[in-house]
Amino acid sequence: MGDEPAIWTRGLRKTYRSFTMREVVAVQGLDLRVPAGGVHAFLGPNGAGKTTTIRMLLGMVRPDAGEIRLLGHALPQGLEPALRHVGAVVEQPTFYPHFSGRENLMLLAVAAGVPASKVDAVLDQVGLAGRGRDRFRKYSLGMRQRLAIAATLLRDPQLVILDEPTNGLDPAGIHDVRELMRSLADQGRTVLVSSHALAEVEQVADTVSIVVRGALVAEGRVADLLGERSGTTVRVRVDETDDAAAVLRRTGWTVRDDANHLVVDGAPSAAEVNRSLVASGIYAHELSLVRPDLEAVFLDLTREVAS
Amino acid sequence: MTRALRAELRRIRLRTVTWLMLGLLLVVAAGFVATSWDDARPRTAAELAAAHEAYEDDVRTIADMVVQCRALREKNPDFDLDCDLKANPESSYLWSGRSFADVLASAVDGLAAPLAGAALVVAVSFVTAEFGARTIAPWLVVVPRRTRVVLSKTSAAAIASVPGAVVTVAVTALGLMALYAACGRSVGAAGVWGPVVGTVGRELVLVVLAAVVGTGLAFALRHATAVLGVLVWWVIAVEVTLPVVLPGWVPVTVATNASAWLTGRATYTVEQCTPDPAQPTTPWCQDVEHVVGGGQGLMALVVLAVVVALAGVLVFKRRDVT
Repeated sequence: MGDEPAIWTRGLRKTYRSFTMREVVAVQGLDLRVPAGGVHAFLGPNGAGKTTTIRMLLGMVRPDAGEIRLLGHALPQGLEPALRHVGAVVEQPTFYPHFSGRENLMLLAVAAGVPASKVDAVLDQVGLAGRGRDRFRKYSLGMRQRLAIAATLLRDPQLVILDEPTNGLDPAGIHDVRELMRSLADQGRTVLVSSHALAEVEQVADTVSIVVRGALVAEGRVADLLGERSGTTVRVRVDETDDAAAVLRRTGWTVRDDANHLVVDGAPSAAEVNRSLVASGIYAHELSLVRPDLEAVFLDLTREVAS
Repeated sequence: MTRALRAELRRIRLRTVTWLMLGLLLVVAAGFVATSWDDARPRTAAELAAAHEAYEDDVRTIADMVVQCRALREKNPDFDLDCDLKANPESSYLWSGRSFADVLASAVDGLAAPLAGAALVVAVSFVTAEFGARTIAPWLVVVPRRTRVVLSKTSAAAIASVPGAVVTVAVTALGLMALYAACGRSVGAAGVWGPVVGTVGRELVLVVLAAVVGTGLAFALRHATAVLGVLVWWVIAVEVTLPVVLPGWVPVTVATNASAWLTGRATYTVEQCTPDPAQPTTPWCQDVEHVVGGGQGLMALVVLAVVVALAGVLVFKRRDVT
């Protein structure tokens, strides 16, 4: 595919209208670029338009405006050839409750022209080989998520779209999904994962897009996003907190108390903070650079947009 | 399309509703067989004795009438009296039940409505369950073309309706054959099967059209309760009320067209009034009989099915799946 992104949207917009003609703008002018290969996190608070965006990518919801390219195919004309290489779970895993997990996958496999052996293989891949013949309605939420992920893998997709895939999973299940996403990406596939479990995503995502109120507020490599906001906050533990705070404030930095520590914002580096303290005869017991995690970045960005 | 149809046929075969409806149809078939017992059973000794007694009574009565008749004729030779009176054969005094051919034809006719109803229920639930369980979303990832989704589901519902109907008719026919044979009655009369096969063929067409209407309504309305509401409204407003209020509109009712298709013709009367030349203020009215032919009935049913199916396609193509 070269430099062609796996997903590209421009000016994507969707407004829902109720029976009373009340309008809710779910997505407004979203420009999204998901590079081919790797895990791309699609983040945003509830109601940010993530699921609506995914539905538009899959042709389930018709955009009011904007353009979509999926695996190089312009939608909606290229929907069918594009989706041949896409596996997706949208919101909650939905299957026929009275059929077994295996039978549910068999139906999808028959429609997709996938051999039955592949069904057993993907069930095994997600750890459901022993429960494939149980009815779907008897599955726990975690098992349902696994079955949905298995369904996405039936066609050896180039692009896997997972909407909140760790919902309901226990820690081992979350770990398994993370490993699965990583292994899919390592095989050269693209994984788009929307999730509110930011810590989970941070461990596995290569790139990220953050949407708030239906619009993109940040995107890029996770390391870059974190890097942009790191190095400005230093956490210090000293005996003479009042004196230390006065010294640091005199240099023009912002200082606040946090339990037994001082948190310094605006310093160029931890070394500069240490140098200032030592120059005043104050020695730190502990000095650490506070690296924001993805959650902190996410919260900062959403607060900025909200304000 | 073929793969999607194969998957849909597999799903409809696995559905509980499909087998439940087949079970209900077999109960109906068993009902037809059971209610034919009175036709097929051997007559009891009491019935034979009563019939014989009635025959003997008539023989005696007729003998008396012949004596009286002859006496009258002798007194009045000018009268042209035929006194050659005879009692009917004794066999006519014993009701022996309808023949196998009559009972089979009647039962097959009676199966039309249950078969069409079952096909409608299976088709409606086949699609509305998909929306209810929200399984349409993952399905659209695999089969993204909406028209193809409608076509495959409609075709599956239509195809699946045929075996159930055939099994029901076969069970009914075999049950009646077994009943009549067990009762020592003839089941092999010539010309029994031809008309029955013709009726079954027309019923299969009706069943397929019912399945098409069912999926069309389900795609258009999405919820089984909404479909039920529309069907109830149709029955009350169109099938029951319209013929009373506007008798000339009877040909738009499904019942009339289905009856015409199944039996070859259906009739209805419309009162037509013209001024009476003798009494200009009082119109002269008479009931005029109109006929709906079998072809016309079929055409009306096909048009209805196509219109409903197209409505389903249009709605499903335009609405978001959320």
